[in-house]
Amino acid sequence: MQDTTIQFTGVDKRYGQVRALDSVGLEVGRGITGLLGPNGAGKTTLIRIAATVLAPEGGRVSLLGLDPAQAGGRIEIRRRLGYMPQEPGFYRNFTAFEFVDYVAILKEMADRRERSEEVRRVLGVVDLTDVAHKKVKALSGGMRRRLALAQALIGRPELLLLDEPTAGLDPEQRLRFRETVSQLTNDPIVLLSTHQTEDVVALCERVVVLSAGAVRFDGAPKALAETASGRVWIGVDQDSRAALSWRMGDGRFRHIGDPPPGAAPAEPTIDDAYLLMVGGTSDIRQVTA
Amino acid sequence: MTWHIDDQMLALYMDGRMSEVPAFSLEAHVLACADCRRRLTDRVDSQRGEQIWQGLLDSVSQAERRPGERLLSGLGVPAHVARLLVLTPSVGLAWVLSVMAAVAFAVLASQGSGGPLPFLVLAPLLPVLGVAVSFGRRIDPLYEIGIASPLGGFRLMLVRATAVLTTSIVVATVAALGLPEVGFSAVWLLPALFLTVLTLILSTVIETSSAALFASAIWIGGVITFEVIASDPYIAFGTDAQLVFAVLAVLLAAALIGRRGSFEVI
Amino acid sequence: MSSGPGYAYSSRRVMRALANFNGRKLLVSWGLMTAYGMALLGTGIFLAAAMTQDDVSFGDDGWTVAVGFYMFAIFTMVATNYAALRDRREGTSEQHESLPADSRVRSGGLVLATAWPFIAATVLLGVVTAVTAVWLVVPSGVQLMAVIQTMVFVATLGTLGVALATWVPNPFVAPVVAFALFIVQTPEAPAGWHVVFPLAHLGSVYLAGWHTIYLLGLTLIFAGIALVRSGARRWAVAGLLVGSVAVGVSLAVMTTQVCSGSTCLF
Repeated sequence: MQDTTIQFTGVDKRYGQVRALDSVGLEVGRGITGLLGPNGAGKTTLIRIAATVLAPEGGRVSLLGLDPAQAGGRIEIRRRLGYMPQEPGFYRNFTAFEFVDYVAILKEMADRRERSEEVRRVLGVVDLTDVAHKKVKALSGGMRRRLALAQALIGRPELLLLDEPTAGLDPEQRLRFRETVSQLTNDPIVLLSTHQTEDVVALCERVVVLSAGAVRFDGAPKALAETASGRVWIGVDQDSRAALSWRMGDGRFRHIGDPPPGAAPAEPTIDDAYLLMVGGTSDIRQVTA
Repeated sequence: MTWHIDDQMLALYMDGRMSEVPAFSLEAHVLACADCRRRLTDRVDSQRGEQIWQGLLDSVSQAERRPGERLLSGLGVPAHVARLLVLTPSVGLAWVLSVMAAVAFAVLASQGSGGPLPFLVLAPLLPVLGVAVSFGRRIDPLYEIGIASPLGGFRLMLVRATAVLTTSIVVATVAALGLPEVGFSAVWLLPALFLTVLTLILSTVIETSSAALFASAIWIGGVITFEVIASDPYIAFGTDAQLVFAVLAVLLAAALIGRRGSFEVI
Repeated sequence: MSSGPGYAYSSRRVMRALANFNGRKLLVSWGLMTAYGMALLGTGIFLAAAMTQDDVSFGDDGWTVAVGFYMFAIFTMVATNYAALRDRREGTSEQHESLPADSRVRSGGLVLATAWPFIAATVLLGVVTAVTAVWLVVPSGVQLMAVIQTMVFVATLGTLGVALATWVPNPFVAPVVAFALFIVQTPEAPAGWHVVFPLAHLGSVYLAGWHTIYLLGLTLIFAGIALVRSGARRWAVAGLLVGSVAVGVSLAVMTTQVCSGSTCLF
């Protein structure tokens, strides 16, 4: 049976003095897995290693049962991979169709007719059919993001890597993106890195929290929220006893951590759990919203 | 510990009037003795300490000055203008090297029987091409930010245009020394000025690169026309032409100043 | 799953598809548009001159058809260079690394794409030659070797454009080289150096043939240089070796034929 997982075992990666990944161990299977973490946590590094564009330093990586350290394995992985980087580049003077067509050739679709069909298909999936013949430089930011997703979807990859795919999208665009990703027909392994906890709640069956290069949590989104149970309070005043405290829209204060006097317990959300988990590393003390 | 600092020593030291050797022994003692250390600390002027520290931080955190900046500052240019000049995109290394290479080829081509024409046609175009490479919305990533800054679009443009002109003129002047007829060494200056101002003023109506292309086309077309009609392409460099270029340059510069408002908006 | 029909595990088919895509893009690029214009201009003047005067030929005495296509070749070089720098310019280098077609295939696709401008030049030249042969009278007749030489030169500069992009990935390089090629065409070089120039007229069909082989050799060398870094070692080395042999032998033959006595190189 074909291996349908990606496995990281004890993976390290350093950039000079900075430890981007610190002995990371992870196994991701079919379905949508969210990668949550602050900036600089190592999410992009992890995704770039999975996309075979970056080599890890320590540990072992196995992608779809293949070893990216070997040239033959690497090419085979790339045939089954779709990668949407955080800051995608485009050939701005090409039309949307031409750009995706070019990437399709690079994905080894040499036959012109089949390639055109596939390009039309992915452009339809991301709803860019109407602007297929417009130059990329004439497309809006949201359309370009969709174009980047389209080029990742060529060839129905078994492994889809999306690095902050909804950055800069408005709520409606994010909703449509979520629909697109959740409706992919070949049930690939999707690793989605994001800041937006709503994306995680809406899409992901599983979430991994990465902070300062290490895995802090690995499980269901609900379980993540539950790690903050008993630690979230709502009160009338701000208080330094809590680890984190901010003013909500209705004038009351939400506290995470130890309860200030007179505060009532509140239902924990993923945001609360996430902040509690990574708040210490970013040294947030008092935040006034 | 048998010896401690007395008040008289402390006063001397704080005023800076203590000579070296006793000062060394005082400092060595203070490292070991907590009491005396506390007494010393209480007497320290915290404001002065803060000033010294800030000064240290300032000089450490200031970015290193490039050699070009130091040269310009030495010539009396204000520090921030010097930095701006040195960092102008077209004055980057790749640009300067390309200009030097192109000029070298032109000088080489001018060694033949055709005379210095290749060089003379190229030299006035250098600042025009420099403007094309460093101005305008498409080329300059900080275009909008520059316009919104207090220095403003027009003065920024002047600073950059100066940088481009200076580099081009310096390179071309040095290269002109390689020409067989030294008398031709300065006749390209006025055409260069004229073409630059023309490009800049055209850039207020059309895209900068198109303006540069247009100015270049006028220049090359003009020289070719003189060659074909009067079979003397050097007419464009004669004394009459120099006068025309000078007058035109002044007029266009005045027009440029008149249109300076268009540099403040996109 | 993702290995259905339509996927070519043969990198050669992918390279061919890439070459065709790039080639078609080249044919409608700005560089080639300018090239067509130049070729048209040169050919127009040639045809006009052929009808009114009698000092035209396909070789090098008087106005030649080659001048227009010399410029065509130069602009082809600028165009292929620009296309080869695309990934760097648009910042797509890393994301394309995640795709199965590796740098070998991509570089090969760029080099092979040069065939398209080459074919375009061949067709245009063919038309001009046919027209001249049928309707006009050119004193020395149609010199096929000169035509072939010009065609090959387009391929030579096309591959040079790609080679420059892989080794000096700066957008200023191609324009400077183009300028140099344009301006340093001096026919006054001593006979020994004359053979090195791309469109040198050497007096006989025999020598013109060897000159064409020289240009072919250069094409192979440039192609090899373009591929050497991409990992296509064997092809690169083969191109370099065969090209060097062709260049060496043809230069030897031409210089011995052209030179007489001691005034060969200086």
